[in-house]
Amino acid sequence: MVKKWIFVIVAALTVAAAAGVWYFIIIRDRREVQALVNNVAALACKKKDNLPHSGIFKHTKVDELFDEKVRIKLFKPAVDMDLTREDLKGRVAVLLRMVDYLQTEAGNVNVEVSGDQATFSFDAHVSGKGKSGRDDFSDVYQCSGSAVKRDGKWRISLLTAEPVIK
Amino acid sequence: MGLKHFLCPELKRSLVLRILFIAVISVVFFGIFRPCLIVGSSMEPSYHDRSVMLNFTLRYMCSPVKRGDVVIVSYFGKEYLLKRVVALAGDTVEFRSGKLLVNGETIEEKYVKHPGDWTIPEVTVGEGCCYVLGDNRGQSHLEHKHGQISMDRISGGPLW
Repeated sequence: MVKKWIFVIVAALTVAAAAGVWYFIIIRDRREVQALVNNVAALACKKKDNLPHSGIFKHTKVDELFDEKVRIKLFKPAVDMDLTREDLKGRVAVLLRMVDYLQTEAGNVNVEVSGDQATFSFDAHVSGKGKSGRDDFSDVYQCSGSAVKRDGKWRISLLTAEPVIK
Repeated sequence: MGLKHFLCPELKRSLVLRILFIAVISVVFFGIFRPCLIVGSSMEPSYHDRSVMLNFTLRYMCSPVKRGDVVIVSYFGKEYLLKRVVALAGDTVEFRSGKLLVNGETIEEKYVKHPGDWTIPEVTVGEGCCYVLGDNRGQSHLEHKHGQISMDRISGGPLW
């Protein structure tokens, strides 16, 4: 009877240990890359009553989310370039100055992790209003990319986006 | 009737059949025939604004998408688009004064009641894609969602 209970406890501990290892190796990395994607969507947002220091906040976010060199590929406008973080900060600042407000929502996020590399795909719903009387806009983009893990942190190294309806 | 009997009822045949019935209905109406509410008039007169229809999600499980099919396109989250496929991968699509041309040939579209005057330069449909648009050409093509979509985005077709 005692041996049976010992067996049950050892089996339960083994299963729990295996589940813990599986979580830390697979699930945690996947969740971190998913959070990375959501944070990138949050970066492409601007409220109407934007506070003056929000630009500095965005610059800090670029350092946290992107690798030292990032490849950006866009379908519309046609863009395919390698950028450093400083280049990217400048372009994010220009983009946000062109709009009165901007809202980006990420959905249908899928992540595959393999060691220190990950690939992801997601849909981004981008809506907002341009400055100087420009029209409202709203469109959905299918995005994909890859991320690398450096010093324990995931950062995006490739980001592509094209409209769902081309 | 005690709490134990309430939480762990006796597995009588009638109870099992009821549970199976609920499971089958759930799979059918939430998995295979999904109810959808149509919002917008881009598919008038074929499909009307605020009408209900069922999305048959297994329609293209064993058969390919054909030109002329009405399909349901996964757009964003729980939002889908109801559009008609007019061209497949490798085809060219063009509009001249409201007339649709696919591979240089004018297509007779009996489902279009108001042809409009769309003029859109020729485009070639890319690999793995199809060209979709609505039947209501009375709208300006700039306000109408139309163009190439990836075939992976097709999540079924209307049951009727």
